[in-house]
Amino acid sequence: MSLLVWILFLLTVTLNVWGQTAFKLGLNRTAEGLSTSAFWLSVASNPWVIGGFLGYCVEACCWMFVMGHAPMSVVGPMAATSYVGAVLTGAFLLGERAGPRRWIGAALVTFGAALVGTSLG
Amino acid sequence: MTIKAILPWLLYLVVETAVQVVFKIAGTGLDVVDGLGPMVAQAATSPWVLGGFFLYFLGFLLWMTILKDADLGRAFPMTAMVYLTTLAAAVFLFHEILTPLRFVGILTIIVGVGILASDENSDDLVPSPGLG
Repeated sequence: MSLLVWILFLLTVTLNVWGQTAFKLGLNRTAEGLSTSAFWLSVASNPWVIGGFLGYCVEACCWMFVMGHAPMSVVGPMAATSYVGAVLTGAFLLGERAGPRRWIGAALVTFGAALVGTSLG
Repeated sequence: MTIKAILPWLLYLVVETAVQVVFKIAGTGLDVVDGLGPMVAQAATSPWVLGGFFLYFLGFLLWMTILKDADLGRAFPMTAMVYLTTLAAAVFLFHEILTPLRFVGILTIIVGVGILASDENSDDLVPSPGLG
C-alpha cells in the first residue's frame, strides 16, 4: 500500500468518526414519535446531520480509491478502527460513560487492525 | 420477527455488501498518475463509479430508516455483519488470500467489535452505514 492510500484510509476513518459523532448529535435532537415525512424533514434540516452527510460524501470518494488500491481483506476489517474513534469522541467530547467493556473492545479492534496492517508485509 | 421486520435488514446487508464490491471494482479503475482532473473526468463517466455512489446513497437511506425504527443496541451488531460478508466477497470474488497473521488479526477485530456491540450502553455508539 502506497503512502497516498494510507493517507486516504486515515481520512476515511476520520471522516467516518466525524459522521458518526455529528449524526449522534443530530439524532439526539430529533423528536421521537414523528411521522415518516416529519422525521425526514426534521433530519434533512438538521445542521449536524447535513454536516455529517457532507463528510460521508467526501469519505465515499476516499474509500472508493482506497478499496481499489489495497486488498479488501485488509482495509475492510481495518475500517472497524472508526468504532474506536467513536468510542473516543463519545468518552471525551460527548461525556458518555465508557465502561471497561467498551475500552477492552476498542483495544482489541486496535490490536487486530495493527495485526491486519502488518500482514501486508 | 416477522418478514416485514427482517426485510429492511436483509436489504441493508445486501446493499452494503454490494457497495463494497462495486467500490472495489470502481476504485481499481481509478488512477492519479495523470493528475486529479483526468481521474475525476474518468470517474464521472464510469458506470461502476456512478453505480457505486448510487448504492452508497441507497444504503445510507436504508440505514436511516432502520435507525428510526430499531433501537441502536440491536442495530449495531447487524452493521458488524457487513464485515463478514465483505470478507467473504474478498476471498470468493477477488480471490484474496488470508495469511495466518491476517486471519488472526481479523478474528481479533471481530471479537472486539462483538464486545463493543454487546456493551449494555451500546445505544450511544451510533454505527455508520457500511464500512467506509
